[in-house]
Amino acid sequence: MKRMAMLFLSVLVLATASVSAQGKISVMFQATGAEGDAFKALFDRFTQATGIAVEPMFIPHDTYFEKFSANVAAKRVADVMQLDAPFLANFVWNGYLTPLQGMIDQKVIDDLTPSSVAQGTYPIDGRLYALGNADSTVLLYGSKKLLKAAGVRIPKGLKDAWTKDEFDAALAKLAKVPGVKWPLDIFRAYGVKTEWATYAFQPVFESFGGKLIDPTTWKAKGALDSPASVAAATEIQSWVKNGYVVPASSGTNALYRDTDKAALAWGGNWTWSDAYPVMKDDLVAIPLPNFGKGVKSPNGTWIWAITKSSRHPRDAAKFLNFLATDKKFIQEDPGVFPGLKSWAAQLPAYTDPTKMKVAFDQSTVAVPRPVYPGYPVLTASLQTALDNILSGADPQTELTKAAQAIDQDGADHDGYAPFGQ
Amino acid sequence: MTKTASFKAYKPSRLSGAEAAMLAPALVLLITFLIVPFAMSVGLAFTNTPLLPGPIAPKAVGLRNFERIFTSVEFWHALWNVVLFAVMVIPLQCGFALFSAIVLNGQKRAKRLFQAFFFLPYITPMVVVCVVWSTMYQYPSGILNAVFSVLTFGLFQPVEWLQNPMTALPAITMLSAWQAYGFQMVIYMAGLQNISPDLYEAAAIDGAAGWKRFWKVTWPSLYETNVFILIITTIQALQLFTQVNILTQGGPRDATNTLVHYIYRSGFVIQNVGFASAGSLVLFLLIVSVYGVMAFFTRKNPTGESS
Repeated sequence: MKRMAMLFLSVLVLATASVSAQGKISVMFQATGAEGDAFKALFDRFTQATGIAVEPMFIPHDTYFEKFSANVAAKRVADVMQLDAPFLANFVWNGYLTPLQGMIDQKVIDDLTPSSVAQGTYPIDGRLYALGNADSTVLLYGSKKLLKAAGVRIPKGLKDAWTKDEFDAALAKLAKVPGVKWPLDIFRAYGVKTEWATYAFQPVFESFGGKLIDPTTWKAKGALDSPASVAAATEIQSWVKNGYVVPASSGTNALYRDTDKAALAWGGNWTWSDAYPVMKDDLVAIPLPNFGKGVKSPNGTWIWAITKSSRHPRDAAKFLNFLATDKKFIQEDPGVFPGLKSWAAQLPAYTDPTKMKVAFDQSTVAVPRPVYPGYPVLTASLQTALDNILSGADPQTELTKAAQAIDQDGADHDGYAPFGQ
Repeated sequence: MTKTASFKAYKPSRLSGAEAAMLAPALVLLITFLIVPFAMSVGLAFTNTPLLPGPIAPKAVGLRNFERIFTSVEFWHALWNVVLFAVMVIPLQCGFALFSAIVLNGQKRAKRLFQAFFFLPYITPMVVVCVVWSTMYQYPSGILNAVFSVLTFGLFQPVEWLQNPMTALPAITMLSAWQAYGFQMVIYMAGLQNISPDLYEAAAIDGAAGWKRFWKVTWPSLYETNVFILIITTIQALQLFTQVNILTQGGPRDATNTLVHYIYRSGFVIQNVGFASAGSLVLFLLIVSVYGVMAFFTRKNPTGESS
């Protein structure tokens, strides 16, 4: 009986303690590794600065969407959540997010880069629903030594980027260089049906003059299955067919390991911080090839939003303000790509022409993934199509099938009105 | 037969309070987590309910989901894959289980130790097993490729096990058989213990030994066990999912797509819960009918003993 009384007492004490705390917000996020540690440190600094406790809800990114769905069903949605930028339209259309204007400081909104504004804005009402302190891009990384050995020209910037023929020829030449097992790593190890496929290869479609979906009628038919899109998919397929591409089971470090090496890597901006410590000045960042309609690059990252169901929207807004003004974060996350103007100046690698300046230059030609509520089906269908195409299936057939699936989903949702009207 | 008769003779009186109280927890759990969700999914199968509640109210769509499933190439391919998987995994897994059970059954001292040892993969989480095997399947220098290469004096060309449409499903089969055979092995060991030593004695007097002893005594005596194992393993094979979801996501070219993976993607990736429920219902009916057919054809023990 005495023990029961003690237990009861301690529960009572704990209960009052949590009531007397300043406040508490739950934050759902997906970052791992160095980035995850940087975020956890940021949560602590936020609590120290404001007295608002942060309850972190970590969810691995490959099941993020599924877990969020389960949370919605269980009515346990976090106050603040990170979401992958192309899914924003789906979240807003479904009514899960709160507009940020009036909630967070105008100073912070003014600091966002155009690419950041684009990825956080819902085109139907033109309002900002999420902010990214970071952004991203994909570019080519290479070894200067190997490129020189193959006699391949290294482009200096976007203007003299490789053309399609030059890129194909470079792969063929690199394949013959001793020590090169595969000329190109396109990070198939990230998983065949993950967002990486859509993110990394949409630029190829765009540079060929193709589109994933028509941005006025919001129909995939006539865009994803168009001759330009098929040409893009055929080009990507040809790299694999020729045996140029690092296979999925061969890891993600082919560019900078000693055996079974790759000469070029079609990788995200975070690849730099993985490869640079090993390769040092041999590492060179190269813009993506120009397949005809200019160099195109992807953008977008995991951005931060306040949920409509949040019971502490003011505290959540304080968190977003803190996130965008905290200076320590960029020192702790080595892979960060600036999504705020004030940050770009503080990241020397992104202004150094011998390092990652080309990556930051690419953000001027960034094409966001379709801002469309049917994006979950769009990206899933495209991922399946690309997986099949890379395994040897006919590009026209696969893209037609994907376009049909996307349009059927649109029709099932009455065209996702007000889109396409 | 007397057993059955005594069951029939038992007339249930009204449930006493204590009995009801003891039944309640199990009943509540069964109803909440099995009966109700099942009834819900039957209802959802005829609607277009999305995973996340959105601005459009879900409505009844009749048999549309089923029409789409049965006209979907992906569905038939997934069904074919699952059948293929069952045909490959059942002999492999059960054969290996029976072999180890017989070997262990003859042992005295190390029996328990090896039993635990063989059972280890079964209690290891599938995710861990998948990670371990994915490193073994690595191309070009994974253990499996290296071993084959050494055994054939370098003649063997390394295979990209999980990315090749020809080898992906066999690779998943090997992994699955290895992970789960411990369970069948334990059942077989119990079955072997139940065989009366008199039978072996009589066989020995008649001069049967070795293979003959196995085919004439052990195998027929294991009939009940075999039926049970066949049905259990088939149902498990039809529900193949975790390995596929972790290692191949149904690829390459749908070569490892399974019914559960197809349902999972419809429900959680494409977010169409109505469609996924219809898929689950189809899978449920499939399993029930496979079970029905198997139970029908195995209902009589050819040795004449009652089941």
